[in-house]
Amino acid sequence: MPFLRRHQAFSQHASSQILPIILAVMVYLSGLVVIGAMILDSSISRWSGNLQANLTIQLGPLSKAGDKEALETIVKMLDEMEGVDSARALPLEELEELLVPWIGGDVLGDIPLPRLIDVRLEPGAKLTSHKIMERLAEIAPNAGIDDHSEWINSVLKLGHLARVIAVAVVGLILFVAVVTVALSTQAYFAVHQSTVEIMHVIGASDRYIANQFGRQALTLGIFGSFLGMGLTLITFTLVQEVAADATVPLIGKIWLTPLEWMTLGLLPCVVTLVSMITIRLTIFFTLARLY
Amino acid sequence: MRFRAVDLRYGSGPEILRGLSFHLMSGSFQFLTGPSGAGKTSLLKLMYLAHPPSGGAIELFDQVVKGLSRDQMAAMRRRIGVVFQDFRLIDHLSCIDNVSLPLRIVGEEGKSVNANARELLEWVGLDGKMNSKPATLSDGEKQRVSIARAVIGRPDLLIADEPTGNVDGDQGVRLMRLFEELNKIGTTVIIATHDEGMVARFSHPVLRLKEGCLTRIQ
Repeated sequence: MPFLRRHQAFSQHASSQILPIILAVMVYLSGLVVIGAMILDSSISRWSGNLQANLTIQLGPLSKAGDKEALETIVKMLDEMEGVDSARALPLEELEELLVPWIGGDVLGDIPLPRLIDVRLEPGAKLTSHKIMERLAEIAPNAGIDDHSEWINSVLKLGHLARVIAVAVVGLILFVAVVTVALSTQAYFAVHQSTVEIMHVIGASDRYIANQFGRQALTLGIFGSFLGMGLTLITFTLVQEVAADATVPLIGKIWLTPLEWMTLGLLPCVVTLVSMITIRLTIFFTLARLY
Repeated sequence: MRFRAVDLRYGSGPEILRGLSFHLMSGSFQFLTGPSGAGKTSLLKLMYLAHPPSGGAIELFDQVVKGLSRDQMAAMRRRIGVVFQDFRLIDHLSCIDNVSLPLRIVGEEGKSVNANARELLEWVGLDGKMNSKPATLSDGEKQRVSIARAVIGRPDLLIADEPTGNVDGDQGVRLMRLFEELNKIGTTVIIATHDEGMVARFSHPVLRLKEGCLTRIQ
């Protein structure tokens, strides 16, 4: 290969060609896992952010006379509360429209319907559902509040689990990369045993021998890692294009923030670095067996 | 070089060398002889630091070898030139690159390294084979490349294992004259050979090995 110096003591061999392939596959798999985790994480943040900014207040069926007046009082009280962006009572017609597909229009008139108030909080508001309930208790003791906390907690748990799994999978891939690189280095050394022994006997230091192999491995490693990252980016672009054409409301637009791009860019560097350290340590351990 | 009651065994195998004690003065020329299987090559391995002794102590260049760090051992090996019986050339390197390797491992680069290697290959009569690969050379030519590689670093000690074993009589004598030239400029030379005719022809001291023991130092 052109990057090798003419007098390079170690010849090219199939066992060294496997290094870029191993690293390309490892970086590709790690890249997909990291991208998947980042997209899931940002989607969860978006969902939970949207839901945390919304509350639904439910009032038990009221008498026709008191209904409108009570609703207006509650909406006015909510509107004036610090941290509330807007409060809107859901009109009965709108509520019935929501229910028709589920229970049919014929029976709706016979069922006492609760009234719902949709409350939107200001971004970053410190208002809690507990505080709202305290205020509501004074004028509507039968009111209930749904702050979606149960659902949000489940989704956040899912997000946390996805992060843990992603870290574990990337760790596992790195571990497999380390073991495979160490084994392929040993295989390479076994192939070049006689060359190593000659160099050792004519006075080459362990560092020199490690550098001779390391220089070659570094070039192959960088090539493999960035090839893997290239494949990851191609896959990501394809997924982005497919997602842009499809309507996937929960996922939304697939994109990465600059910080996420940086994290992704670090991946081949980390894999190359870990591989180089592994190769160097394997060489030193192997050479230590020689007198 | 001083050996004090040196033993050698490989792993848990039988003792190959037993209780070897001798002292070789700096600048001397020494033959090492003995029948096949006497342990000549094993003794040479101890001398060029390819294997540790299983007992006793070796002193080289006024330093006890045992206890030296790996870097110190490597530095000591660079003061020793070795001509192997089986040449031990690196197959994918040309003659000139094989010969220049001992200089490159100490960081020497550039035209002077090639000039040195070229000069030595001319000295051993291989000026037309500079860029040939070992596979294309005869055994005698490989032997001469091996000698050129052994001496390029101007070693203090030159060890040769059966250096004339693969060449004809005249060529063998010419190689011996080469070693004598090196000895004259201060290199300690140790030649292992089972060629008693060669030993008789050149009047140098002889270490005789038999069944792993030194039987005579003359």
